[in-house]
Amino acid sequence: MHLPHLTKLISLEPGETVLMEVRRHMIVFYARILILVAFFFVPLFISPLIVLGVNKMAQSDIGAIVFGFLFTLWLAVIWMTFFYQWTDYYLDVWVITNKRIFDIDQKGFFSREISACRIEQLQDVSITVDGIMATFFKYGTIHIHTAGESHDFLIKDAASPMDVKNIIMQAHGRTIDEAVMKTTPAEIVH
Amino acid sequence: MDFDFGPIRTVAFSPTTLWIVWGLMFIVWVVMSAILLYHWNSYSIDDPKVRRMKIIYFVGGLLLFASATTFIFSL
Repeated sequence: MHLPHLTKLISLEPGETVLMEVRRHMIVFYARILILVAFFFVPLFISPLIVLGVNKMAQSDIGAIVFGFLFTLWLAVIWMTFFYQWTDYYLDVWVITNKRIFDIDQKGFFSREISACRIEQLQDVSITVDGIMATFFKYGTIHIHTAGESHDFLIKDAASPMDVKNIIMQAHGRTIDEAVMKTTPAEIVH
Repeated sequence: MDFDFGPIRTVAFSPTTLWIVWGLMFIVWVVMSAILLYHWNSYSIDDPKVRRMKIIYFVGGLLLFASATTFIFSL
C-alpha cells in the first residue's frame, strides 16, 4: 500500500509497509456537521425580524440587501468551520504497518500527538460495537492491549472494526512466525 | 408581519460600513485559509482527497465573498 502523504507524519523502518489507514467512521464527521446545518437555518428563521429591524434602523428599504450580505458572510463562517472540522477529522488517523501501529491524534490545529507500538508487543485486540448507530453503520472501538511500558491503544469509532482487527491479528501472526523462523535450532534446544 | 421594535436609533448602513465588515471577514478567511493550507500541505501531501477538498474550499469561499460583494454594490 503506497501512501506517500503519510511519510511526513511517520518514518517507516526498512522493510516496513503500510497495511491500512484507519479513520473514524464518516458518521462521526456527519454528526458534527449536523450542528453546522442547524446553524445554517437559524438566520433564515429570524430573517423577517432582521429585515424589518434593519429597515427601521436605516429608515429605508435596504433590510433584504443587508440581510443577504450578512447571511453570505455567515455562510462563509459555516464554510470555514466545515473545513476545520473535516481537517480535524481527516488528520486524526491510525496507521497499521507490518511492524507497528501508529496513533496520530490531531487536537485542533496546533496540537498533535503521535504514538506507536510494535506489533510484537500486542497481547490482545478487542472490539466494542455499542449502540444502535454503531451496529447499523458498522463502526466500533478497537482496544489494543500491549505488553510492556507502552500504553494501550484505543481506536475510537473506527469503520469496519472487524476488518481492522483481522489485519492487526494477521500482522501479529506473521511477526511471531518470522520470530520463530529466525530462532535457530540450537536456541530451541536450550 | 409587523414587529414593534420600540424606540430605535437610526443606523447608517452605508456601503463603507459593509465594506469594513467584508474586509474584516476576508482577513479572517485569509488567515483560516493559510492555517488550513499549511496543514493540508504539510501532513496530507499528494493525497487526492485533500486536493479535491482544497479546490472545493477555495472555489466555495471565493464565490461566497463574490456574492457578498454584489450585495454591497446593490446597496
